[in-house]
Amino acid sequence: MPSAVVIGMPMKLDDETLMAYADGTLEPERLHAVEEALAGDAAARATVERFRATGALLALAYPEEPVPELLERRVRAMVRPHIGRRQRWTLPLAAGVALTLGLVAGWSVARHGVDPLTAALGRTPSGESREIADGRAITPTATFRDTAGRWCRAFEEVRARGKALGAACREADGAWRLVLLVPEGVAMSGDGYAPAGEEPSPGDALLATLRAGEPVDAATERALIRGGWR
Amino acid sequence: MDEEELVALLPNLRRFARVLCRDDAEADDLVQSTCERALRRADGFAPGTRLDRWLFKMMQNLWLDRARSAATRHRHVDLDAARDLVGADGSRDGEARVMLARVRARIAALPEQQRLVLALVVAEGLGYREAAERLGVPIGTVMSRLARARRSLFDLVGEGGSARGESAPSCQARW
Repeated sequence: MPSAVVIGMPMKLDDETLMAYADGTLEPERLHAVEEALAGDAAARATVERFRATGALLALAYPEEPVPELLERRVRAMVRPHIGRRQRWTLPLAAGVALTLGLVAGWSVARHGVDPLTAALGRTPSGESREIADGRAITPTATFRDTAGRWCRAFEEVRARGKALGAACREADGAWRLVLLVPEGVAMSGDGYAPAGEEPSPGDALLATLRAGEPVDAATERALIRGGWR
Repeated sequence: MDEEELVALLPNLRRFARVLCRDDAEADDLVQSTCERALRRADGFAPGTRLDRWLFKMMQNLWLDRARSAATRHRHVDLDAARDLVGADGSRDGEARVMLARVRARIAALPEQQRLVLALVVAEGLGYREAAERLGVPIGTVMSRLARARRSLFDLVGEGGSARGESAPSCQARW
């Protein structure tokens, strides 16, 4: 609303000026003139009040409040692999020497390119098999979130010379990255792992450390596949 | 940037995200994505500079990217979100919550550039000039966007508006 009566020199009291005045951020050299103009302009004074009130209202509407526990947990889980990216998998792998052998011996799906894996895991429901390369097929067995909140799938890989238990997680770019591949019959001995046969298999034990919650049911999994995992 | 440093900034980051996003779920997702990107690009952070500023800027860019790609999608704003928050007993507390939910619904309906200026000023605590520098626009542009954003709340703070009173002066200091 334009001010009708201005005492002293003409002064344009636009919204920006009134807001700056309300916020106490008006340039000092303008302060006197603005106050003089405000003295004769009740409507402008009311606008200043309202700008002030919106400041208070916004501070109340967006308070600084505690972060939801889930969010904090996810962020913490995200930081850890970045800080100790190298340690994260070499520690358990070092504990079970045979595992490392399995990876080096050519079980790594990743070495054959991540694309067949991405294609297979993105589209295949648990329980169904899909060939990913010459004579090698995978069968997803479960879908779950990891501690960083990513979607992951456990699967069995079958090839000519045996089987392996694997897990891959979906990265932000949509690619499924292998995080775990354990040949069947491998036992982890040493720190924290019991001899094979007495405890869950090493693959299952590693899977359990990866998993943040229970696997999703078949309907949820179907919806994820349909929705492109978003 | 260590774990505790990042976690300590989460409340601020989330507040920033809540001004930008339409609901809390979207805001939490933005916070998470920002942390992910920050961790991936940790090498880009210059030690000795302010981590919070670096993260806020990253969140701003991430949000702008998303807003651009979402521009073609539906634009849904639940202006009636406030209704769900009405206390069953119509208590004062309930009224206040309704009021604040209404404020958030109004903000959610604002043009993106106005929301962004609000986030910079209200949540990050930047002055007009700092906000202008961050956005690479003249200070007058920042002031006009901010004034328009706040004018959209005027009818909520009119005569007898419940936001008036003691809290105003303490807030004034942070603007």
